[in-house]
Amino acid sequence: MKNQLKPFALLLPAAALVFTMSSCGGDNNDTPPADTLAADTVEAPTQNMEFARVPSPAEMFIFMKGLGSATGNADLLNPVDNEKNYASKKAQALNLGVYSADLLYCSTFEVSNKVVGYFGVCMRMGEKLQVATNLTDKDKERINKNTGNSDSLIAVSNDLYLSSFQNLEQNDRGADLCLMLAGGWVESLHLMNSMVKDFDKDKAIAIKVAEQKMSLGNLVEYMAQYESNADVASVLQQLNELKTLFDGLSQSANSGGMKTNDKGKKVLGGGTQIDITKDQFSAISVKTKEIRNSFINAQ
Amino acid sequence: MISGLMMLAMISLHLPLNSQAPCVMFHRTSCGSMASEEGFMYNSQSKSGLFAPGTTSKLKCIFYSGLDYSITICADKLLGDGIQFTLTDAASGELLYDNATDNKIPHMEFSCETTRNMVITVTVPGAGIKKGKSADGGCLGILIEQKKTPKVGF
Repeated sequence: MKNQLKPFALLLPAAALVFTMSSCGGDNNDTPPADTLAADTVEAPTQNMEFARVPSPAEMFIFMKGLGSATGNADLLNPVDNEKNYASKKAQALNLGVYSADLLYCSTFEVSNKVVGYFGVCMRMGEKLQVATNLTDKDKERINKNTGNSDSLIAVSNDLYLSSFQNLEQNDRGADLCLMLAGGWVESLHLMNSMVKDFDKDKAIAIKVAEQKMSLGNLVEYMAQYESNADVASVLQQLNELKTLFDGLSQSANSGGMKTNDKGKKVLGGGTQIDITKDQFSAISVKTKEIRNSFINAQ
Repeated sequence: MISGLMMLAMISLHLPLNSQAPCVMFHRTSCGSMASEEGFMYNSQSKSGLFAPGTTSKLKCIFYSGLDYSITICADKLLGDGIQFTLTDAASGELLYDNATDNKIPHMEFSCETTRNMVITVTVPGAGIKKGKSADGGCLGILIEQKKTPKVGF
């Protein structure tokens, strides 16, 4: 696809206005004053722009199933009935994320009898927020027909999350996307924390919780771009309080870089090993629950 | 009025990995997916954007231990074949992989021994846009996929 920037600019000035007003990480300080640009020139795009990304709940759950119980606990989830309380846009966006994580939890951990209910609430929350998804009645039918087939349920549930994410990103709804990401991330962490029943026996799960220090760092970095939005700012403040607890975890450097094993596969060594004590885990778990409760009780 | 609108349009085009509608799903429609053949699943940290020759942009992503990852770079033909991408540790900046040492192939697969936050940096060959000149842009996508690392042995 050949895009001449000059005619593209001539044809879509209205769209350009939207991009300008809702930039995502762009450094507009490089834009020269208007009177220094000739009418038919385009300045080079900003160099070295960096975008922080956050794993989805599915990506956070994928390795958890083998570490703890294979079946989930529906009592841990945000009740579907709470949907009626979510009148504000903030509550709706946060809980679209929360319910998306709950749907993926049900699909991943075989809480099959709850899948249809959480799928429905996610679709309705999306409609309230005017988030178009790519899913159709046929997908809803798949949900009903595939009850019990975990891989298919995960795939459709993940498609729903991804289509909501992509729709918000495509339409430059950065603030709403921040809130959805925050809701999904906090709910996922809450559910991971709940899998640690006995800290010493479930230490492997606690280590995975500790590793979320990195994804929280990226989430906070992403959200900071939108902190001029009051809803995003308030959630960001809560997440920064949680981040302070994660920042207290000890870490040690491993040695090694990229190597190729005897099967020709690249394996990356090195990095840092993050450790967590029982007290640190408890503090993180309590703080996560506090933030999560503020989300699901929002109005 | 017209020059003002054009100015707004030009300012918007300073953002190579912004959500510019023509490119935003490019990685899903144009990068070759490993999903059907190898069991990989789409990773939501993937992203696409509008690039011009000579531009660089970075994506900071989480890669979990216990998973195999596939990274595929794809781009409009006008951006050329020699797109470079590197992996660096987000905290230390340590260079972990450079496809320049691999004939600039646009695809690689790997697993991590520990969970890492890494930066994927893509650089489109070219001299960049000189002031006073116009330039063609093209879509570039970074498709990330993952699957559970297969267990080996009994």
